[in-house]
Amino acid sequence: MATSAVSKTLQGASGQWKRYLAQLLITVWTHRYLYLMLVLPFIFFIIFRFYPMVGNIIAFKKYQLMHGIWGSPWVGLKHFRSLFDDPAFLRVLRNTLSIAALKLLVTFPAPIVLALFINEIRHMVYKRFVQTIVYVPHFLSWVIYGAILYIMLSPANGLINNVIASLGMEKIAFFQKPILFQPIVIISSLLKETGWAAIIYLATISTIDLTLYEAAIIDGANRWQLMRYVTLPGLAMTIVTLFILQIGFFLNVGFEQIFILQNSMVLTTGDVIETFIYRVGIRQARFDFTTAAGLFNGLVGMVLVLMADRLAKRMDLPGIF
Amino acid sequence: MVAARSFRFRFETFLIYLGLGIFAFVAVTPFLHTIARSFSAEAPILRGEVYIWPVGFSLDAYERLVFGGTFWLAYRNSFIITTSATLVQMLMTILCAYPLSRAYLPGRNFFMTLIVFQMIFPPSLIPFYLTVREVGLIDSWGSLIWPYAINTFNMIVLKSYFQALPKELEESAIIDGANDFRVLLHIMLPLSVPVLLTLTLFYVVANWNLFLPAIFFINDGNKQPLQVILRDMIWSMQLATQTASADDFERLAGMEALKASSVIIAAIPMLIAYPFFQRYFIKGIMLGAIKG
Repeated sequence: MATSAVSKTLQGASGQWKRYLAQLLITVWTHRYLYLMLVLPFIFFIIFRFYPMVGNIIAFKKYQLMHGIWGSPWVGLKHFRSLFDDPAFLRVLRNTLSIAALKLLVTFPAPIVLALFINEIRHMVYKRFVQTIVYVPHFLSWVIYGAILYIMLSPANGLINNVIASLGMEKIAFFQKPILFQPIVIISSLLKETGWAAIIYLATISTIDLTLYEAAIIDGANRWQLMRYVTLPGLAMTIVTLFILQIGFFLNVGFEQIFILQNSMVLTTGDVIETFIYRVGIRQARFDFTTAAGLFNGLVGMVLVLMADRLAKRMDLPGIF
Repeated sequence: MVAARSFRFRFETFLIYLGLGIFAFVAVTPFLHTIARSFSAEAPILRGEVYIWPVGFSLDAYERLVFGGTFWLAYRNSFIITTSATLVQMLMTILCAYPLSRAYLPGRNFFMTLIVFQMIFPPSLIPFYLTVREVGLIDSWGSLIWPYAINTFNMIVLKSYFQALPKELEESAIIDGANDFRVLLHIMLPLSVPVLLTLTLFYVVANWNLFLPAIFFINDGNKQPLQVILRDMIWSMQLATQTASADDFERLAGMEALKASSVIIAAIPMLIAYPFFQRYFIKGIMLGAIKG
């Protein structure tokens, strides 16, 4: 009696399982074209995203050209140890953190202020004019922008130095002074990207309920008070979300920008993890050693992104994913 | 009292207008200065007399560039790279986004997990470089296209857009006997033209401005895109002017104006396309913002 009940249940279960499997197969077959579409993207992700991820193992190997990634002998944590004993890498780490912190403190708030100001312009033509001008540099490459900076800051006859000279002061070789490199990086990203970054805030401002402004005006609020007590709170969500995102990508200090602006004279303050990996890794072909640096960078980045995402979700914000 | 308040009101407005005016001026001055230099004679530039208006108007620099040939090669390379890369990227992005936008598709979550994982843990430069080398793409334009065939952010924007389209359209087409390819091609894509256009422009700008991948993967000078050629020109001119001696003067004649006009010639296509791009880019930012 008991046995038959058990076997019945089992049979029922396996019957259910079979039905489920059949259902699944039918769904898969009906949508076979959808899987067909995914074939090429899948191959792309395997070759160019996941295969290199596995290639990170050369951080634990002594890379030999003849034996390739797989055949080279293991060396354990040797490269990580020499990495953290290398004064050049410690310098690179310090520079990366310093530029990242400066970008968070200076270039993050700037577009918020710009958006608040642009929002105050009632004169439509002037508004369009300002917007058009501050968005343009975003579309030009860092090569072009960097070249323009070189021209502007040229010690011999650049505009800035002409002004400095006409004020009776001594000309400055901007790109040869290590102490000026990080300020140049920050100011150039401010000038190039602030306008563009303000768009998302302007978009959010345009969704704020107008009746809030009307009510505040009836209560006697002036312009600053409207900005401070209506517009800014309306932006709070966006600001916090983007701030968390920024923390998640803290270590991405702008490879292309820094690569283009730096030169051998400012490496003490201008060398960051990514440019270090390129110069030592690809130029000097020290693949294994710099993969250790890259892996370290990637793991720290991953932890930061996951923490930022957790933080966002705890605050009931959309999160990164 | 009222008068005082309205004065304060206007004064604040004035401050805001002025502040923005100064920012816009500082942002635009480098461009004006470079344009002014490119149209100036060499002597006034060297004497530091050029500010934001040409001095001793001259088209020599542009003549040298237009008849020099290097820039035509650069334009041609960048044009071919941009069109082919954008085509591949749009195709791959659509092929990836559409199936992943279908919630009922078995295995979809697995695939999405993989994609999110490579987003938070992207491959580091060296293994990526070695992979491109192993695949045999070094020194070919393929190295600027295939390793960058899908931008995950763009793909997710498109996927969210497909997801938001009404389900009934797909269902009725399937009942009428259409397969998924036809649904995508004849129903989904025509409904997504604005977002497709925006993503195309995102890709076009990125491809046209492409620099680092070419530095990594291309050694052949004849295959370099515009950005790399421009940088090499500026650098060699910079080096030449810094190490010049008096007898080099002949060779260096016009170098400063030449530098400026190279920058302007390289920037022109983007500046011409800018008004068109601006409109669609702003739409694109909004699309991205919806998803976060």
